[in-house]
Amino acid sequence: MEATAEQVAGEAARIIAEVLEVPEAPLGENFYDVGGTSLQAIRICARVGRDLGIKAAAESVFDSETLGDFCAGVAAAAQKDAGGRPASGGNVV
Amino acid sequence: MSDLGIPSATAAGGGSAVPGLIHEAVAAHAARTPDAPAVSQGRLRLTYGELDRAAEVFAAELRRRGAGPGTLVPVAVERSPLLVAVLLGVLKCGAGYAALDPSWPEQRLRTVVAALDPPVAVGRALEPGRVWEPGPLRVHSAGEEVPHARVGHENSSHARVEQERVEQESNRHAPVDPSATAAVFFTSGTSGAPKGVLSPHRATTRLFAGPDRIAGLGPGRVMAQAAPVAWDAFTLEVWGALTSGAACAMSESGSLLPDDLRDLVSGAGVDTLWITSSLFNLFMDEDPDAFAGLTHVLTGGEVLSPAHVRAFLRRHPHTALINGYGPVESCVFATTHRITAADCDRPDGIPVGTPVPHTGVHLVDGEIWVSGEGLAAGYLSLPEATAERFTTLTVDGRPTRAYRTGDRGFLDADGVLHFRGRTDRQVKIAGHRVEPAETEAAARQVPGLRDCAVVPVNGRLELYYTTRPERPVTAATVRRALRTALPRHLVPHTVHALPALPVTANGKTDRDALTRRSRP
Repeated sequence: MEATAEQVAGEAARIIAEVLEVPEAPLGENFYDVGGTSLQAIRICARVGRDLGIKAAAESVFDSETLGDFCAGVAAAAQKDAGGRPASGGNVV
Repeated sequence: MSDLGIPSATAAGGGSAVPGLIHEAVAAHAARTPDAPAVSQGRLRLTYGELDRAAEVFAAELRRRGAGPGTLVPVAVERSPLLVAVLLGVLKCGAGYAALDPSWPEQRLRTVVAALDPPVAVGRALEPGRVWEPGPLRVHSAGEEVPHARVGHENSSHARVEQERVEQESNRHAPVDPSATAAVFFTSGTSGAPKGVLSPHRATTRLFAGPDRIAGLGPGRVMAQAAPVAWDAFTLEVWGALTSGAACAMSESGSLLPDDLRDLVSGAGVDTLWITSSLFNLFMDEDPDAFAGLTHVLTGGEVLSPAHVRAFLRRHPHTALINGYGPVESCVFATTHRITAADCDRPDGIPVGTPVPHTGVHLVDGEIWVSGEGLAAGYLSLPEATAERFTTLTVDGRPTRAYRTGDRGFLDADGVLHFRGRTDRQVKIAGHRVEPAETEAAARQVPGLRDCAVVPVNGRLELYYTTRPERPVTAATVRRALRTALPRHLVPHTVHALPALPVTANGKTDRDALTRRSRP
């Protein structure tokens, strides 16, 4: 069964919380402002790729206005992928 | 052992020829094997012949715009075969290049470009009036449609005229010798401005010319290119491949992820990878099979974790894992070490190894000094900093120019070098060399900030500051200001306002107290 966009976004938020070692992902905040490091951004994207099969660039973690926007981008990429696109995985640009 | 008792280890170069010019080494491969793969990124693939011709076109254009021996040309272009062709073009002019990260804040780019005082700047709009945006890469011989590259028309009169012009120009190559500056690497400086390290051609070619060249690179091999373009690791990845006859496969992602590495191995046939030790650890944590298919992995930049290395050797027993050590002032590496399982159990840690070709390491009062062909000429426009760091040691009775690294270390009973930390405040953050003093100097420019101190804690930079009561400044404002002034790796991860900075008994800022405060 296909995961819904909300489920994928929730999974992305879970990954962020795990990597930042906080109980809940600060989705309303910017990654810079929560003191995120470049290695944490890479780790988030490595897990998004491994667990969700979505290709997200580490830069997109920093460049998203909020972490919630990043999760929504991951979900959108998953939906696009499920929509029969020829690409092997969705992309968060 | 030297006359003065300076413990030393040196490598002559294993009988290799005297290190030469980067672009001549590439051109020699282009002449011998023009159809061999040279550089690729995704579906865009260039042979040695195509790369060399593209570089000649760029060289002609750059020469017309004033690039020549003794000049330095900033190039702010994203990682791409186009970038490689432009850099090769700069070298063909006899000039040196500074590959700049186009994502740096504009203020940073301006500072660096002004320091170079260039006749022409390539790429992102750096200096009005003196900027040249290179056109699309022309691939004259490609028969198929290549993304991002305009395919030239061999029979058009324009192409013919251009080809003739290029051939005439290429006969007028200015003579430069291997001591001429090939690359300028900007690194964090304690004074608050980045320092430009002037690296000669021979510093690069010394590593890849002889039979003992780094990772045995040569024809048939494929090296990944994933490091930031401004790092000296870029030199290893690009010129290590292209001066030895190997191919260079460039990542399409900004930061390399495990799946990107898989794509490079399966799509481009990559067999050799350089990766910072912090990223190596992350890959081993998250996706250790991503290294499958590689024959050589080079790592370093920070102290290696024996647990991660042990796990790697178990999982990839047929892959050579090489620890590399060296400051950018001794281009890319000073020493390397092929890691064995036994190294993971050594109480003194995994060694950084023995000198690379044409290089020496010397221990002076526990501090590592480096000598040999890899040494930079010094720092751009900083004679005092140059004199302070590049001085003469007497080794085996001979005066020897050497660079004082600021790294502590020792040579073990087998003459193998071990790294033991720093003599100063410099740290590595995700592979970036960081002087906390540079971040402090930038913070002191923020209006309303009175004093500050930066402490590195667990791979993060923490800034503590005090504010002027008459003009208080918030932590968010300080952070925003630093984001526009500094590249990302120098921006503090957290910013805290304090009523006063703690001081030691002699009145200096007590950084240890701040570090203790930051640790959970």
